Formats: sequence, C-alpha cells, structure tokens
Amino acid sequence: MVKMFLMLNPYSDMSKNLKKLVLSLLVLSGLLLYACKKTNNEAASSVYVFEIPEGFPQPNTDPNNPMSNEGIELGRLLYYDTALSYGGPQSGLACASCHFQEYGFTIPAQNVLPHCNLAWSRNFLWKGEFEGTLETIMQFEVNTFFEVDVQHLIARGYYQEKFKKAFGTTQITDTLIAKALAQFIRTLVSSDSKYDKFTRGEVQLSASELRGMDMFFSEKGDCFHCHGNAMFTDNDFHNIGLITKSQGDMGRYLITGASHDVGRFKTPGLRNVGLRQSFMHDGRFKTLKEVIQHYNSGVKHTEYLDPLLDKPPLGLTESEISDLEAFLLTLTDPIFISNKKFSNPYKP
Amino acid sequence: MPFFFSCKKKDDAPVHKNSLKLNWNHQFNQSEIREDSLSFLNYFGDTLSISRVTYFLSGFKLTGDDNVYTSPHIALVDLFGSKNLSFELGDIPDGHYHTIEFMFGLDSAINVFGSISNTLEHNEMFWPSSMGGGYHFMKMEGHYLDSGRTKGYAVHIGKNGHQISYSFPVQLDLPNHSKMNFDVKLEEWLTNPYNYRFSKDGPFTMAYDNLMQLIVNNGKDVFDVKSIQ
Repeated sequence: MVKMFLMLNPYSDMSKNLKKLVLSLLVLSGLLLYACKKTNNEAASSVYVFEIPEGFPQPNTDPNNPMSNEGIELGRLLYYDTALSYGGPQSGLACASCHFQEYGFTIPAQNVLPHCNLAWSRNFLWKGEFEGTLETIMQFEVNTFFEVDVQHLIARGYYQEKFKKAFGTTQITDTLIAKALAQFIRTLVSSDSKYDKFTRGEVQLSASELRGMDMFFSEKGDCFHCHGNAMFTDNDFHNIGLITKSQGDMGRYLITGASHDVGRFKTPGLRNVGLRQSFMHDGRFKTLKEVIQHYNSGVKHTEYLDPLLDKPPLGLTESEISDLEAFLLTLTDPIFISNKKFSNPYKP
Repeated sequence: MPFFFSCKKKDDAPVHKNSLKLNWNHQFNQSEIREDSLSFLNYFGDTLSISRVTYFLSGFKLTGDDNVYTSPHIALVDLFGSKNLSFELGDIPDGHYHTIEFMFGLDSAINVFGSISNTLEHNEMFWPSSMGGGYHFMKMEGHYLDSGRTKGYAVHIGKNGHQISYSFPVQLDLPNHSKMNFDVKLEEWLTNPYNYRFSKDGPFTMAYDNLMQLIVNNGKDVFDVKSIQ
C-alpha cells in the first residue's frame, strides 16, 4: 500500500525539511515584524504562528497586518456580529450569515464562494473584483458591502478593549476592522480531509476513490490543470464553456474589459465541495454529478472557451463519474466544519 | 536574514561583487505579443494566439577567463502575469566572462514537487506524480484557427528529459556591463526542425510523450542573446 500511495499521491515527494524551513522563516519574519512594529502605546499582543499544512505553499500575507491571537479573536467576534452592518445595506447580517461553518463557510444552496483556505488566494470574488490579500477584500466588505458604522460596534461595550489588545488602540477604524477580519479568515484552513489523511499515510481510500483520484490527476479527467494543488484551485480565471450570452455571464470581462476575459470566472477551491448544493458562478448546477456531466459532455464551444477545455467530450462512463464524485467527497474536512476555534463565539 | 548579514565580519580583502540584470523579450515572428490575440502565423500559415506562457529557467552559469560563477536562482517566467520578465543574478565577481549557460526547466534533481521553494506560483506548476511528478517546465496555451473555427491548444512539457541546456558565447565584462538582453522567440517551439501543426499533430501535448519530445527538440533556438549593456 505504501507503494500505491507513492505512485498515486501527487504530494508524496514534498520535502518535509523544506516545509520546516519555510515555517521557521515565517515565524522569524513575524517576530522581526513584531519587534519592529511595537510602539510605546501598543498593547502586548501575542504573535500567532501560522502553521503551513504539509504540501501547502507559503500563504499570501500582508506584512502590515502581522497576525496575533488577539487580532484573530477580535476578527472572529466581528465575523459573527450582526452589528457589523446595523442600519447598513446588509442590516442584521454578519459575515457568518452567508458563510456557515457546517457547510465549509458557505451557504450550500447559493453560489457563495466559501471562506476556506483564502490565506492562499490572490484574487477574490467570482470575477476577481479584488486582487491582493485578504486585507484588500475585507476593506471592501467593511466600507462598501456592510458599510460598517463604528458607533454600533462601540455600543457593544467590549470592542474598544479588544481593539486595544489586538492593535494597541481603542480607536476603532474601518481599516483595523478589516485587518481583524482578515486575520480570522486567514486562520480558516482546511487540511484534514480524508484525502489529506491519505496523503499523510494515515488512512486508505476506497477502490472507487482511488480510481477517481487517478482520473482527477490525469488527462482522462483533466481536473488537475485548474484544481490540481493543495488548495484545489489555480488562483486563476477560466471560461469553462457555460455559454456567455447574458451580461451576468460575461465574467471577468466586466472587470478588465479585455476580450480574452469574456466568460472567465474564478476557479473555486474544491475542498468541502461535497457539502455544497449549488455550483458555478450562477449556481446552475445542483449536484456534483451535474458538474461532472458538464465537463464530461456539456462544455459549449465559443471562441472564448479556455484552451484547456477545448477538447472532445471526456467520454467518462457512469461508473467513472461515480468514481470521480467519490474522490471529490474525500475532500470534505469534518474537523474544519466543527473546529470550535472557528465557531460562533456568541454561542456557548 | 538581515540579522545574519549585519553580524557577518567584513572580509579583509573583499572581492567586488556585481549584479547582472537579465531581460527576457518575448516575441512571435519578431512581433510583440498581445494576450490571446489571433494575429500570429505558424509555418503553415495557420493563425494562432497565445494566452499563456509560463516556464522555468534555472542553472545560470557564467564562465570567465579566471573564474566560474554559478547561481542557484530559479526563475518562473510568466509573460502575461508580468513576472520575472527581468531579474538579477547577484554576487558575481569582477572579470571577463566568455560564456553564459542556463537551463530551460529544472534539473532532474530538483524536478521533484516540493523541492524548490513552495510559493503559490511554483505550486500552480505542479505535474501529477502519476504522470511523472515534479513541475510543468512550460505551459504555453492559446487558440488557433482550424478551417475558420477557433480551437484551443496547450503545449505543456515537464518530464525529466525535457530540460534544454543553452550556452551562448558572450563578451561580458563586469563591472562595466550590468544588463543582458535575451530574445525569446516563441515561434521556435513550433518549428525547426519539426513544423508542428495543432490541427494535424494534436493541440494538447501533455499526455503524449512523442508530441512533447517534438516540442522539446524545437526548443534549441527559442532563446538568444540580443545585447549586452
């Protein structure tokens, strides 16, 4: 079985020593940043050591927002707090209102991109409206999406102390709210699925799951070109042949104005994909099987179709489709969806 | 790392070190490349575009009259991501160098997934272990016209044996020179000695060793030293 693991596991040759080195350098950088950043009026927030799961690359971080335990705790409070948009356009809603932990931080029946492994994302939202780090998109969420009114947070009574602990100031600003949210969301790491345990040699996959994995990581299924790394997304945009007739289907073109971006949407990560009941940017598919069927025989040819998808139908049999689905279900991470560190702090 | 440098004792007889900037100027039939613009012609006159060009360069080496310089630098060049279209080699001793060498791709010793720094960009070049493992050395993708119909192509190579070594005679004097400009002639991947035609040979190379080898054989003239400044 070890031999099979080495043959089939695409991350089997990951250097553990390199990972330790990278982690050490990150910790060292964090400490240096922390040491340089500290000022007289700054509270002593404790450095958070971001652990990179085996096989994952270095995360996309903001050097101006070093992570601390207090910053993450504050971010978690804000994430679940409906005061975030009190009186605003999303009144009565918090981040968590559309990102349920039990479904991998999304809403199963809506096309909401999940808050999962965004520490490794360089672009955000379906059309890539924002590029950069989590801090960039959170600034938009705070200022524009929620239109956070700081006074409502102050009225809670406990936030000023939390900001003091996290950022060394009782003055609550939109930027610090965005930074705290970014810190918390960056901790939402899913790396304990059955697939991960298999890559670590802790469990075995079933015969069907193994066949599905082999298909996923080969030209037969050809999923890996866009979904083939630890995050199961290439951080890129693709036109996957969903037909681009309506304005809503124009995709990234609406952001860049470049003709080659017509119909291109962000590649979503596939972790916990088995918990979703809505797929693609417009939620047109309701089951994983429908999604696989699309790639198998439903890709519509246009001049904008991604080159990687401009192939004859895959020709997968019903049995092979079931195998591929079985593999995708191994990406469900029960620890991620029940981890109390990510849960609603307002609930006991 | 700054700590370590600042603590390092000064050498009694310091050797002057230089940096050399390498610029990579991509073109197709001597024309500038616009992303996914159907404006290029291959050997057969077929129209094609280029929507992605990403590839690894490594193993940089300068050979001089008195010394040999090697660099551990690995560059992942991304044409449309505008990454590493220019980069520097550092700590090169003064002197006259008559040869520059480098490798397209990664040496087999490091063509093992995870053996180079695991950045997001490197991660996205991974090559499944069930297909040989390691990294894509190159992804060149785009569209072409086949009987008036737009189709896609993806030229991917990355198996051990796909490395290509380049060696160019140069007259490089450091510290007098600081830049070396390279032409990257992408049309060469599709011609000389083999005139590759997507509509006949196949638009997707990755699953076919014979197709990938044709591309690799064509790669010998892709890079050229244009000027030294």
